[in-house]
Amino acid sequence: MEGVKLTGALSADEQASVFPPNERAERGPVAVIECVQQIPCNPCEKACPFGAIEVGPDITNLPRLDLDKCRGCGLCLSKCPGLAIFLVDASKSATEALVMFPYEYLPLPAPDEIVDGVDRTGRFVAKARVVKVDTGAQREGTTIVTLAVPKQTMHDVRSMRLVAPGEVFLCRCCEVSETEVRQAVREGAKTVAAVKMRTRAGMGLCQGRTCRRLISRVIAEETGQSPADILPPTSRAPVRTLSLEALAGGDDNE
Amino acid sequence: MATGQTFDIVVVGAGPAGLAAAIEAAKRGARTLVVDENNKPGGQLFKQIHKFFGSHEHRAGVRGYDIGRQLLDEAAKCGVEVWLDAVVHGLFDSRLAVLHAGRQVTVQAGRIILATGASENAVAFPGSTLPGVMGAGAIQTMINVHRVLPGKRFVMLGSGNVGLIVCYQLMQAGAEVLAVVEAMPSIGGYGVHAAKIRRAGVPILVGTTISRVVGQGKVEAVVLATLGPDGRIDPQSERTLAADTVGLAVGLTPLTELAWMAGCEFFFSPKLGGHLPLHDENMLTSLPYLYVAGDITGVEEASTAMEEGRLAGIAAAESLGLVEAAAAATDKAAVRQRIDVLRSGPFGEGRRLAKAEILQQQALRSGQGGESWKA
Amino acid sequence: MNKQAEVIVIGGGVIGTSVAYYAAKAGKRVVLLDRGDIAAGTSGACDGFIIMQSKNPGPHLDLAMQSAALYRNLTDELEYDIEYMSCGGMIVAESEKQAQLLQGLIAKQKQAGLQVELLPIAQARRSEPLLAADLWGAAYCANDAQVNPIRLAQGFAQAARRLGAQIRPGVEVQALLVENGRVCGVKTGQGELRADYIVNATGVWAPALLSPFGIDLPIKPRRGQILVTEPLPPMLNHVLLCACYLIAKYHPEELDPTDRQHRLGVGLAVEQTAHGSLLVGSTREFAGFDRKTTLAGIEAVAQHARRILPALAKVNIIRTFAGLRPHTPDGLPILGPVAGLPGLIMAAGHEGDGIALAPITGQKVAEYLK
Ligand SMILES: Cc1cc2nc3c(=O)[nH]c(=O)nc-3n(C[C@H](O)[C@H](O)[C@H](O)COP(=O)(O)OP(=O)(O)OC[C@H]3O[C@@H](n4cnc5c(N)ncnc54)[C@H](O)[C@@H]3O)c2cc1C
Ligand SMILES: Cc1cc2nc3c(=O)[nH]c(=O)nc-3n(C[C@H](O)[C@H](O)[C@H](O)COP(=O)(O)OP(=O)(O)OC[C@H]3O[C@@H](n4cnc5c(N)ncnc54)[C@H](O)[C@@H]3O)c2cc1C
Ligand code: SF4
Ligand code: SF4
Repeated sequence: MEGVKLTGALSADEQASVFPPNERAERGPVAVIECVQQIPCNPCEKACPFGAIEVGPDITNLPRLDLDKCRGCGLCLSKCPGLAIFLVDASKSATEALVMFPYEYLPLPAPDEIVDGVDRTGRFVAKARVVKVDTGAQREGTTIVTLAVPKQTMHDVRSMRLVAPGEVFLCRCCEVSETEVRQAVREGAKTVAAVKMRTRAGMGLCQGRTCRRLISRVIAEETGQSPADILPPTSRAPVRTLSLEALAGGDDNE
Repeated sequence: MATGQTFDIVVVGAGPAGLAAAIEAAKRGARTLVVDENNKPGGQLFKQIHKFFGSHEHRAGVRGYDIGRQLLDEAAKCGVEVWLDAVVHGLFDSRLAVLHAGRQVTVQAGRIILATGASENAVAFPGSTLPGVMGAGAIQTMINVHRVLPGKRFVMLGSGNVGLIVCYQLMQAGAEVLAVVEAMPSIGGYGVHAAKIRRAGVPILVGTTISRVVGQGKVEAVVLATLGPDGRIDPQSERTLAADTVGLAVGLTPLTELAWMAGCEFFFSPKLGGHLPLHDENMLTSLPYLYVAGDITGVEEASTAMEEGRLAGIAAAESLGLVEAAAAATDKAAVRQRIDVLRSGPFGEGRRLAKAEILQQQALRSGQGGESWKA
Repeated sequence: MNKQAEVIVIGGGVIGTSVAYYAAKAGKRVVLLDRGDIAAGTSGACDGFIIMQSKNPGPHLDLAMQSAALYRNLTDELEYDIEYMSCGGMIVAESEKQAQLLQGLIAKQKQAGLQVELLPIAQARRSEPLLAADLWGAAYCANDAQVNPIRLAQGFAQAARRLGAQIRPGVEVQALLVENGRVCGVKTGQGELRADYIVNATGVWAPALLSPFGIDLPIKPRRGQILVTEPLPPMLNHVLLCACYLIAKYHPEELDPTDRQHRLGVGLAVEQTAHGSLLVGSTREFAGFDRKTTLAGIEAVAQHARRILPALAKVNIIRTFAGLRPHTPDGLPILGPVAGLPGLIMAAGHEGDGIALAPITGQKVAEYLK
């Protein structure tokens, strides 16, 4: 089972039909138009200010790229409604290549962030560094991300995934994230009680029953202390919640 | 005017440890009270619908909740007073603050035996706070006690006995279990428990973990990943299961807040679940009125919990002068012998060594420290 | 040995961090030491009232009013959310007798320029509906406010750090170093440190550093126990005290020692934090340095709160804690140089007013560090 018709991802043959020769990519940036079905569509043709893309009068023709006319400006990337155009550039270094692709998800990555470069099926290919995140007005809401990837993966990486796809919350009662707890420890909070003071972790309804071990672990990781030395915060009544009224009913007089 | 009451011995927790302790204490003439926050006695037992392991003497082959019922009957016969729906919310020296059926009561105790069991550990990963991620124990209470299924398609994290048993009970209750996921390179629980669920077609994925859970406002999918040799997630290995509920069965931690509040000495044992009250061979802590028994002294099993409870019950009664030292010694020796049997074999060995370490540490500290530890 | 700083501040409570901030702002090289962490002492176990109308007219009220003025733009100045809320405060009177006591105080406060009015209960309940209908009424002052003391100390510490101060948690001062009759540094678990001025801002622990020199500072820990409720939707519009608090504070002789509430010095102090929890306090007891809560203490506080705010009956308590007020016989903090120990500056003994007085204390003490 292969090919865009069956899997949604280009087969090896389909890829071969659209890849520019490596020498071209070594010379500088160039478009890769991964549009292999005859659909009635041609915005790419108009998008290119250098006339490098030709569809012709029959708009179901496949777009053809003139490798010499293409200057790798990337303008066509955000015009293609199919998000089918990418840019590769192998000219910048011996080991790394740049890959540019449209990315219409939030949150956006930040420059220099390390992300997972993924292939046409969303599978991880290689760790990649974000070089540029272009949200300019001419992009009309389609952000163009540029990644630096290992050169041999330049024809495989076609999108990315953020490495931390969401915050990890250690204290769910007070919504304190792992990042905040680490930050607090780095600022000098070396005990669960001190982390609690700085972040409120463990101040909620469960009074730390859920999060205290998770916090201890972060402290141990950050400070190198043994978990044996990381004690729970001071234990005070009530160990389960009780109503003010019930407490008020007591008549202890020690 | 005072609502306060006085008992020779107050046991906190009506699980197997607490009930066994109360029975032994009451048999020896102590006015004994057992307090438990639940409205059913038995602790962990009342939600265990499976047949228990252990020796015949420990009612092996009997279902957990039946053991609880039998213990309760016996306690009633010995004259133990049992308060259910009663939380001990504070310990102030030998006085307990109890919220009993909504009313605040102070109880004065000659001796206190803490048998509060253990609480479930949490894990944090992206999405771990989404509704639909819950403790295996909570799942078990829902299906076995309240008879409701919290989801349809489950992924269980953790292949210890608790994870395996809860998966099995989930399938009995009509749910689908997509996988058991275990970060360690091998299955943690007994092979026989694992075999039960493998026969039903559930994969047990060792060396694997949950890398994240995704969904809008609730669990919609679980992303699994293989762990590399460095213990890190291998992103190439990520795959997604369309589960709607995630069970966490990643171990238990002794429930020690009351012991910390009392101010007794503690010991750290990774094998037994973390910080636990240091105690001697009579289950006495560093405070002369405070005993401990069961999972609070290290997470084990119902059978060992009951024996530790018996030990604590006998010793507490003895310390109140209710039994002759010689008679108590004989009774305690018999209990200790049974405990040794329970802690033998490849699965018991680690716990036996960890428990021995507690006693060594206690001997060391009492040798140095002096006066405490003398009941 | 070289000097590491111009000023060493001992203690990272609201007082020490405030001194560090104002000293750093005045251009001093400051090191702040705390054996625990920022707000590990009383400042992490108290309420956050910035209350004017509880202060006796005179130096006490003057200081408080200057402090209140500093608070108004402190959040912006520190670039840190200290959860300051200018909510106004009420002191509840249960009876005619208590109302008279308040009346006397109010008359003097008005002369000193503080606007306080005594409202009969019907009127008080219009803006604070949780109050019981059978109370006498309440004194209201619009200038009262609240703050989060933990965040206040952290905000001061971070702002001081930005101004070049070194903030060093986990360093315990074991002794003061004296050379040629002048305090010139401190001995810590991690070596000696020297400076021109040493500020003792260690709250209830302050006397310990001076006793080796035969100086007996009159600061005694006075415990206060507080209940914390579950987070609740906004329900309280003011910070609330009751007149018992003032009686326990100013007229302890009127108390009946056989009454549990009196014996424990219970006076109501209730506020709602920015996170929704109510802090319900508190007792005023001499119990040494014991920071445990007691059953009698938390029960008595709950009982009194139910009397004044019956609507809170069903609210859940999730935690209790106790803090130690640095009590002084005259109720005033000990600020400034110490006779016989040049180089040492005191900033401790704020009893139940340390939060209210923190900014002005920092500013005034910084002036001694010339
Ligand atoms: C899924 C599962 C399967 C198991 N299968 C087996 C098995 O096959 N064989 C076996 O031997 N063991 C088994 N166990 C283990 C066994 O259930 C426990 O080891 C045993 O229940 C521990 O007994 P305990 O009395 O120490 O604590 P628990 O049974 O946990 O009882 C403690 C009680 O104290 C109460 N309590 C705690 N704090 C307070 C307080 N402050 N105030 C009032 N009450 C309080 C708790 O609510 C609880 O009711 C299993 C456990 C689980 C979770
Ligand atoms: C229950 C209660 C309620 C209160 N409510 C209010 C209120 O509403 N409004 C108000 O204005 N005030 C209130 N107060 C008073 C206020 O909390 C205190 O006056 C104030 O926190 C004192 O601050 P501090 O910085 O002097 O002391 P602390 O906060 O105690 O700081 C002293 C620090 O010094 C450190 N330390 C001690 N010894 C050493 C050493 N040798 N070496 C290094 N570090 C050392 C300690 O670790 C501690 O962090 C209340 C107090 C209590 C107890
Ligand atoms: S990259 Fe620029 S030059 Fe190349 S085809 Fe696209 S628009 Fe034309
Ligand atoms: S715009 Fe995109 S989809 Fe349309 S023809 Fe050009 S490359 Fe193909």
